Amino acid sequence: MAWAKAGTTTLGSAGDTLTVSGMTASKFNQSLVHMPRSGNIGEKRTYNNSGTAQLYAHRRSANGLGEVTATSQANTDYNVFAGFGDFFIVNYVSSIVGEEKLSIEFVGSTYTAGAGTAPDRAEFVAKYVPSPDATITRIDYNNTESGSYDTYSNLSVLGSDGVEALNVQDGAIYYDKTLNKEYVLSNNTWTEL
Amino acid sequence: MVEWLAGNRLRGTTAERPSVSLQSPSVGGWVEVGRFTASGTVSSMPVTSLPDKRYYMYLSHYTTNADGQRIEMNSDTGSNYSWRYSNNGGSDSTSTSQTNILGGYGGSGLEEFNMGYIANKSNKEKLTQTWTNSYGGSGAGNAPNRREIVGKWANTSNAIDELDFPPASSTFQSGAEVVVLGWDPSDSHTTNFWEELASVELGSAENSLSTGTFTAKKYLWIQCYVPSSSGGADNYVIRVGNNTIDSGSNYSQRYNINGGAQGSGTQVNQDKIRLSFNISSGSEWFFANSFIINNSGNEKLLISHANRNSTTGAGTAPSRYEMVGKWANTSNQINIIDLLHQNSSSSLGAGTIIKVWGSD
Repeated sequence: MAWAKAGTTTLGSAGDTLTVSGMTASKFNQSLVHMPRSGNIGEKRTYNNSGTAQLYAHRRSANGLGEVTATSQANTDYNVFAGFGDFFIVNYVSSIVGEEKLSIEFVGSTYTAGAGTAPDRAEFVAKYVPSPDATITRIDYNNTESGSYDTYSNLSVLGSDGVEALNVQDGAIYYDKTLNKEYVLSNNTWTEL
Repeated sequence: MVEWLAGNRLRGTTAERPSVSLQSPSVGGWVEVGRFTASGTVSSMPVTSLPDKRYYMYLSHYTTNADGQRIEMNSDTGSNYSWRYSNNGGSDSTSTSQTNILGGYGGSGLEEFNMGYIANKSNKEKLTQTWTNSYGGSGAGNAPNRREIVGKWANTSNAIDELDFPPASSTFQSGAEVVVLGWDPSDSHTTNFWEELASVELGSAENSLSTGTFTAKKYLWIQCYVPSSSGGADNYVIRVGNNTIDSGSNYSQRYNINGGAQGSGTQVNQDKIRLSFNISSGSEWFFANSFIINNSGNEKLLISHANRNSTTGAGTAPSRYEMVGKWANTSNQINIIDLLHQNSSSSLGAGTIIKVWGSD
């Protein structure tokens, strides 16, 4: 398997939603989200367009301050800072069939523009408990504030289960460890030796 | 994973047998876009001529007699940077109007491994996130230090085309290296910096799961998933080795549970590294994400985070674990990893997974 692009969306104009849908499910995903702001913005993330169902819980610390937990939520809420800035979120999530979907996430925010202010940071662990079970094939970030995600805001998702580059030529011999048998490749067909 | 052998021969499982003669590889994944390796003592680690990518990932490793790395963009040495950081889970500190971004831990006579990400849009401020493992002194009798940093470069007119990683003062020693990876929505490459080295899954409950030996690489990215456990509750831990697992007292670590609310501290001269600690007495499931610098001649430094649970459903929040650890071996690379339930009478559930990606 290989890490591969699962989906990406870049806003062509300012908007309130960033969505990647139609992803091929992988055991693990990595998401990168960069949301420049136009006005004040906030983020709530859902998986699989889950609507108002209360399928989410998380624990987080913002700027190293005390732990905060939220349970039975309809989304994962990133509105944890006193100010509003551009957001940069790095997310690792497991998406195993039949299991709760567990994520480890890190948030950076520019806070006020300019080098005269320090950025904000937050650390999350979260879970998504779909009912019925479903692997993650769609991710949405929805703006909760009066402004918009600016043009060029981007959500990109990588999946762990991509296909590796593999060039096998006719005449190749494959030893099957499971069956303890050998096969030869000819015209796209493996024939047992 | 299919093994490639000499003479147009391959070996793997039934499921891994390629279905066609030419598979179309997947597009994307992190691709290397720049690297600097010091051939002697250096006072900076510039990575130049970077293509414009929306996201960068970087990995750096060095020994120094001086101080940890900083991050400088496009040779801008003006007071255009600011940052926020935490040392060892302590209270945040901030600095503004700086001439670069904090990117390491620092101190004298040290070895450090840093990894991080950068968001890069030409007309927007650039944001960095960095995690640091600073070895804390040689040997398993010393626990590493950790630092978490966010930073920004307030430039809103240029995309990044150069990243420099100078020490805060003085020099880095020969062999210091930084690798910069890129990812962009427009990418169509089918190459990938991170090669899958091992992917194993427990078919039935066992106390441990081993990757088996894999091809050693300088940089390792590890993800572990435990869907359940049985028996007495305890920590989920890893041991590593070269061909055989080292169960000697050659590990140390620094940890933080739920931001310190449920414990924090150091553990030295250990026979394992704990990726997470038990919460309660029942089945517990977890997900861990870790990076390791894996040079044979240096201590192997690990940066790890985990999410662990003991109660099903969205009515309970997960617990979070922040960890830096090390294997104090300085003569071999890691090429085998075991994930274990610390209670030898207990089991990791069927479906437990270890995936290892790596690159030189």
